[in-house]
Amino acid sequence: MRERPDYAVYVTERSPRLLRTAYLLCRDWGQAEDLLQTALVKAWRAWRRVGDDPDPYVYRILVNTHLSWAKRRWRGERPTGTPPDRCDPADAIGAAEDKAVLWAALGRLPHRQRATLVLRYFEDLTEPQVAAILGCSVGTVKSQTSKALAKLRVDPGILAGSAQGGE
Amino acid sequence: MPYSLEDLTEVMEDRSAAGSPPPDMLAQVRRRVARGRRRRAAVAGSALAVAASFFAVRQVAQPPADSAPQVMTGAVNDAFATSPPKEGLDPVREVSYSAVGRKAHVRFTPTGPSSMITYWCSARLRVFHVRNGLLSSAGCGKDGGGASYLDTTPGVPVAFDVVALPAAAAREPMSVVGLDRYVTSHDPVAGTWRLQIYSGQCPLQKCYRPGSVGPSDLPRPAAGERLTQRAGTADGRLRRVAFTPSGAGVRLHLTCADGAASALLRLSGRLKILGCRAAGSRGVLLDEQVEPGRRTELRMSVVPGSAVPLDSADTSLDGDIKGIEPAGTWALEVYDL
Repeated sequence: MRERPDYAVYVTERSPRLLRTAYLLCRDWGQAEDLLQTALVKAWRAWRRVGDDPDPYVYRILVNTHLSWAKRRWRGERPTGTPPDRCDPADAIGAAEDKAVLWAALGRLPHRQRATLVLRYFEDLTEPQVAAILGCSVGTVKSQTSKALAKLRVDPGILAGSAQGGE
Repeated sequence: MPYSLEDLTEVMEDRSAAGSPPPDMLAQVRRRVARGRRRRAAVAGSALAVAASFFAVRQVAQPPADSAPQVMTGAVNDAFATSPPKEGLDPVREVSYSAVGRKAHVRFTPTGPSSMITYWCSARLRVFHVRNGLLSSAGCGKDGGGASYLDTTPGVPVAFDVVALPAAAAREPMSVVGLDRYVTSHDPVAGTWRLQIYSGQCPLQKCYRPGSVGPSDLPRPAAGERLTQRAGTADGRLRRVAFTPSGAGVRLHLTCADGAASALLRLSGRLKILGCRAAGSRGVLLDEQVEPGRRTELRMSVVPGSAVPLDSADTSLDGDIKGIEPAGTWALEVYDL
């Protein structure tokens, strides 16, 4: 099967953004690159069926491949009984630390909920678009989003930061 | 502090802004596509490959794709073919290289069901080997290095990429992509190393991976027909293996390697723990009664030696065993008794 010219254009133009999405899903640059390559290879095989807008198809491959990897591969993450150092609210770099707390909390979300947030708030897709990519109903997207945001609100790291900031 | 959705978006934008795809992303994707096509073509055209056995071993220098890592050609030692056998395998090919950090593409035609690749390096290096998209590596020095064993089919060519890296740098590439990236971003340095390929009918058990056909002195698990076989990683996942026995008994043959240690099995309501690590490549045998002609499901979960020892009292095999760091491989064969 020959490579269609629009495939090369798509890979060249969209790789930077897709790599960022892949990184937000797996939070490791090496793995993100591997994930994106795998997704693009899978997309290549199905390029005839992809149609004029390949993005939803490629997002779907990215998410599904990442979820299957997450099930199979050991992530190298170990729970720790020692909470990370908290920032001093008076510190000038406190704002950056706050973002780090939020980033860490995002990493603690279940993979599917994180994928929902990435597609909704990073890719700025609508709920029906996210539902089509994840292969679920709009209602499920709404509930997954709601649960993910609720989890972020009650995340121990974020609560600790809030308590310290409020002292 | 309370966060808003804008904060969430901002965090994701900021954190993901640092990365950019490698400039040769398209070329890398094309190489992976081509590799997959070659693999499928090799399977489909294995009959044609027999004709290629006349060529024994060929060292092929691939033309570089767009900004792909440059591939080097080695010096072939023709006299190697007349050197003595090693571990019962006949010498096939020896190729020497004079650069470290540059890829070489190797292709050879095995003469037997087992092949071995050994390395020699003039300094402490680590040799990375990519075959069928899988990365493996072996340490290498003046005293020699590790040996890779391959299950091969006589007459069917085997191709792989190989690259030697300085031992100090060798921790970095943890994946095929990482290796490509490392080779692309580092200039090669001078260094001598060579690989030797042997092939034949290996008389040693270590030449054979679990579940593969071994030499005649490997245990013959049963005289009956093999009903099914499964293989996998020792990761604690629940596996279901279904078969329909023709008699009232089956023999299970479980083999573990590379750290896989024990298995929990449930068959006909009975829970058993099999320690397979000590048995090495011979594997362990377990005979069980079953109902003839009825589809039977075996549930099993294999864990590595690093996991907490299995205890049938606290494991019901209703799902995956959690918290297992995967290590090692296993193979299960089920035979009619």
